[in-house]
Amino acid sequence: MSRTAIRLVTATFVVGSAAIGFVPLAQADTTTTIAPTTEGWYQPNPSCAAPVGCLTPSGLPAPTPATSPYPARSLHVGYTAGQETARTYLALPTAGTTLSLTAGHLTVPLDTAAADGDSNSATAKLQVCLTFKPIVAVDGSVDAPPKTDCTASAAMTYVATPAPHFEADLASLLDRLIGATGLALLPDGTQAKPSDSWRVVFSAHDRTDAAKTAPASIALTMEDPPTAPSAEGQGAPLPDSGTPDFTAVAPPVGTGFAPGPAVDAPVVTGPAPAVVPSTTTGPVTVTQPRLITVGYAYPAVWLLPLGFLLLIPTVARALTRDLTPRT
Amino acid sequence: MRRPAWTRDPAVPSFVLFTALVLAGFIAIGLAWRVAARTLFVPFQTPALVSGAMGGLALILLGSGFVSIQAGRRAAAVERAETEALLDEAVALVEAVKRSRA
Repeated sequence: MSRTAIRLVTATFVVGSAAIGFVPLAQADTTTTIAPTTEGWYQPNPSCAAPVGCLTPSGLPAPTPATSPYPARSLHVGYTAGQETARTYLALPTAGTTLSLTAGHLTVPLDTAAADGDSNSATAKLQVCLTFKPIVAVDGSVDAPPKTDCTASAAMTYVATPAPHFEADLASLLDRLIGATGLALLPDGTQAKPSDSWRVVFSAHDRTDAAKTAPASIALTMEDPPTAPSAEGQGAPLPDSGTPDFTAVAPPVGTGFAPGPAVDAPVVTGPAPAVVPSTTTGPVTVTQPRLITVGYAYPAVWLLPLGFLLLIPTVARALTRDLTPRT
Repeated sequence: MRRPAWTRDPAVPSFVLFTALVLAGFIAIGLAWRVAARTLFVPFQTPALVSGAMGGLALILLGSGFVSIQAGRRAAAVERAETEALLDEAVALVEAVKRSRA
């Protein structure tokens, strides 16, 4: 057998073995429905309308009392006369999930009882933004809310049947969802008109009164199965991601929220991340797991042996070559 | 079209190759940082840091070492060539003196 044939056979084996890495393997994407671990909603500080400016809790002699006339642990997003009147934050247990999210879908079943605060919820224009700050469980707090990052946002859509709910495709947020502490639901200032007036009410996971609806849920589709948080991480607050402190996007128009706090709000220990049981009624549509064909995360790494195969003789040749300058 | 003189230097391709190794090392460290920074999950950060940062550091050290070795070899080759030229000149001088006396 000639040397050329031997070289061809060797090259074929090497290329073939490296190409094994590119062969796709059958693997199921995992769709997990998660529930927020902590929810809180904020309303503008009424003192901000005063000529002297906003009174923040640090400037008050006593802690700000709870000012929500609505059922405990109900959550609100509101917009009235061109001003944001309420916004809600949902903390997510995303720190323990994989970094390969392929899809995300938020579903928020509504409490449409007027007695609980609902008003024209069908006309509401909501958006979902990310937050990288700790989220605390508050009901109608007038403190400065956690900063939001709306550089990428997802619009929410009202769906009336089978039960009223809002839903949003989180595709535009997937890139940074893992690093975020949670989602912020707030009025979409780009779509709301000054004449709009609406209030959306839904339930926190720990709401207990009779009007409780199913809590918000997020269906996340991952390439890898989710990993349970470690034992010491159970119930621990989400750590600071170290993500640069994004400049907060100003609330839509005319908001009366107080300026940012002097110190970070305390982190409330929330319940452990939990998979929402499929007890939601009506509106929650759980994405069915779908089988797709995926390979390795970085299949190009299988070309490294070929790279070394070329690199080693090249380096050897370079280090033994006669370097005498040619005249 | 004539190529620039420096491109005819036999050491240039190897310097380019070794410099590319160093650059690849920095790129590997950058990629490792990017992968590690986009998650808070330590088990996913560790492989990126080990493979990227350690691999990148290895590439940088390897490339730098090769550049150093090659620079030494090139300097030695230049010195050897100059010595050869000097000897050739001396031989030519001796020959010229012989011819003038003959």
